Amino acid sequence: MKAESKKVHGLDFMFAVACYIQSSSLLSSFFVSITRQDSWIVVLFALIICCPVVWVYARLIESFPSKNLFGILQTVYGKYLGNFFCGLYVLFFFILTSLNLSDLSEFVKATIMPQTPLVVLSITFLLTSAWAVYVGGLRQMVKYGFLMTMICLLIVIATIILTMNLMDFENFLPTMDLQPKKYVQATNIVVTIPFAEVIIFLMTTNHVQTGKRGFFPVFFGGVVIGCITILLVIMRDIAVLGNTISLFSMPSFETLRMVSVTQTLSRMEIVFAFILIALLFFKVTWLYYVTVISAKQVLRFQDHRRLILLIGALAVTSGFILYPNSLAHNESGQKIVPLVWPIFEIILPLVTLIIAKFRGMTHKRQTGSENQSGSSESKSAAAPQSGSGSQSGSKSPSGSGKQSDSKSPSDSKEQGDSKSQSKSGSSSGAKQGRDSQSQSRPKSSGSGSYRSQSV
Amino acid sequence: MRQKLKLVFAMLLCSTLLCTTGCWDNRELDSLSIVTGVGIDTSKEPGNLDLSFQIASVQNGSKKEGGGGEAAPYLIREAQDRFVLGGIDSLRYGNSRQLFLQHNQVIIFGSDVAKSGVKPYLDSFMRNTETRMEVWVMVAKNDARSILTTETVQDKIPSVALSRMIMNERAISPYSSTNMLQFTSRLVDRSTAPVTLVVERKEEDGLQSLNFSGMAVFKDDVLVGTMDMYQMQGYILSMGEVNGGSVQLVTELGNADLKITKSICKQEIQLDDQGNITFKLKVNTTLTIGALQNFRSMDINKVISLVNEKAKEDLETKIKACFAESQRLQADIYGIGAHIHKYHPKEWKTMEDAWASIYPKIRLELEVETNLGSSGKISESLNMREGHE
Repeated sequence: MKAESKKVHGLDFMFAVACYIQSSSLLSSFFVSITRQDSWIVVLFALIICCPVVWVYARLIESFPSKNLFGILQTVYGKYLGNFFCGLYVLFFFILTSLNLSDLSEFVKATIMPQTPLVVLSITFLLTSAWAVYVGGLRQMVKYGFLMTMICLLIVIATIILTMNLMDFENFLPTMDLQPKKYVQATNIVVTIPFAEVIIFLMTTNHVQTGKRGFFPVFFGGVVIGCITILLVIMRDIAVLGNTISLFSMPSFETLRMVSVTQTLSRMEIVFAFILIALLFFKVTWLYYVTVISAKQVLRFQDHRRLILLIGALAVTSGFILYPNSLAHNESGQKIVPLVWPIFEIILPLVTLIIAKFRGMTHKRQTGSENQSGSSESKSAAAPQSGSGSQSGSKSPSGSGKQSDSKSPSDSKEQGDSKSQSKSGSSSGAKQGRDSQSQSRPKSSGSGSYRSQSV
Repeated sequence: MRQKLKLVFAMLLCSTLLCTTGCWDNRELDSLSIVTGVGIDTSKEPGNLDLSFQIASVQNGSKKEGGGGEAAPYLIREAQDRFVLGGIDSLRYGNSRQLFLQHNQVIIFGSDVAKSGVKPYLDSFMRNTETRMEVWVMVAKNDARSILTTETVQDKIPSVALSRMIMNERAISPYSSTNMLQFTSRLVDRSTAPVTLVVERKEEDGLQSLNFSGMAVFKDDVLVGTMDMYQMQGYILSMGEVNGGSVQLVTELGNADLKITKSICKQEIQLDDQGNITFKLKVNTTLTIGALQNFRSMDINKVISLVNEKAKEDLETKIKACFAESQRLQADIYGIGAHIHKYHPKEWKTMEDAWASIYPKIRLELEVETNLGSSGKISESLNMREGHE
């Protein structure tokens, strides 16, 4: 993906978040086998728990408007600890990419192409994603998210109508009959695996223009749309499959296989397979992109595109190594992942926010105009973060290969005096912000920032 | 450099397109044996199964096994193995085409297999990605192979004929026929006994036909008994909505054949403080007169009143007979246990383990109301006319 010269609209970003969560509907078997007919309640519990988590994300972004997640971590924790956490996050994003790529390939193998070797499917998807990461743009990507969200919602509603004759609403009974620890476990899985994974979007929020309302409505709106879709899918599956839902590794797919309104309107699972492949492709591409730009930032590469194929090859390979089979993946998804992922998704962002607050690094949420101008002021930080790194000497955002010696504001005194920086950004406006891109010079390289690599 | 990179990448993608065109998964119609029915019987060799696969003939030129050279639209492939998958696999060696289960219509268990338990064989079908959960499950009165080799007249492929017969049955009531999802759902539920249709082969005047002869009742996955059509009607009438069927009455004054136009049943399950369970059924059936015989010299209103009363008694007897039989078999075919689990989960916890012994003690409270809605195009029968002036 090219570094963006223009900001992404908040609404588009919201649909990208929604689409990302929708694409996780395949993973319902992780928690459906635990809470069975009460799985829909668990999704609602997860949404409630996600509320403060998303608030933490939004607060974090608004506190450091010109930075992405890594910029924030480096500012708050300093050079060494910050880089250590960034490294861990790169690993986290990488594993997510690898697992989702593996999920996508296994889904296609299990449903459409059983004879095709998994490695061929993985490489094919990865190359397509690599192409999207190489030439696509964030703006195009989020537009694609909006389109996919709408198509997915339409298909879910259509399948609900088509399976209406198979539904038995007594399948939802009895409610809340299981042991409380099962609800806790399942809620943790739902929060961890699809919902709080939206932390990956924190790597791109510096390209987003949200207006007066800030990031919380954007993020939470996306989570709510995604949650509603997953809720509809789960409720449909429970109503159709009843107590057998816990037996299937892909309950949604089995539900769609049951559709038989007439002889002609039957065997429609291929429609569902296509939409799920498209959604998962979207998810993998996002994860891939985030992994590439975060690895670039940590490894201080000039151009993130140099890392695309390297990370892609590693992702394909590790997909085969991480779990020996889908059962082990499922087991891990139920017992290990929900304990490890929250460290990255909930605990670290929360601790970062608290530390930032105590150290006086946070500042009040900016108004719309401030946010906008602050963002444009931060182009030198924001664009290179995706294009060539916020802390390193950068290429021009257009990716033309023209090098500039600009330094991001995060290199400068922002970590110590970010408020004054944002003020200057707001007063200078967009044009001045662009000017500052070429004119700004590093002022310090104390704790919280690190020296950029010369180019 | 940039242009070169682009070119290399584009070539790489194009080569990917060429190399990964899905050749691994191409399946041509002439390389497939499309299975329309599977029969599972016990083999003479202990521990083995006799598997019969009915394969629809794509070209209508194959010879029927043992036939007189007439073209038949299906083939029967047989295998003997301990496992279903093993049987399918063993057929590879004697078949030029690959078995394709996506269009399978029915899975028929021979009565011997059903009596020994069907879970191990259902497991194979559930795991197979080609099999659909909507495939019909039924029990053959004797062996499954004889069902699949029946020469049905109208629908030439017996499994397709069975599938259509089930659809006709379901137009009347969906409760007696069971697909794999419903069967599995009852197995998972544990308290509810699965039921399936029993199919038998009949031969009259050299003409073969398939016929549903009743309902097989399972306890867990083991066939414990069968109900005849009389009891089966009692079952479907007590389960919910029924949109067809007939009631035949034989009285001293005359005989009547009534058609059920609509029957609705409301179930209610009551638990008292002592833990006694009452199963309340309120059946409201609308009938029309299909035929009246005799009732010589009787007034039509009196006949209707008499027939109505007799129909009510008949339906009550059927429903009670079915319920009594299910209690005798200790098989909760009505899903009373599942209902208690859903609506009284606390009480269910105390009953769950002892459900097999609790079920026979359940009291049935039955209330049947019959309405003779129409007498057809004529009111009095010809016999009734004979006594009048």
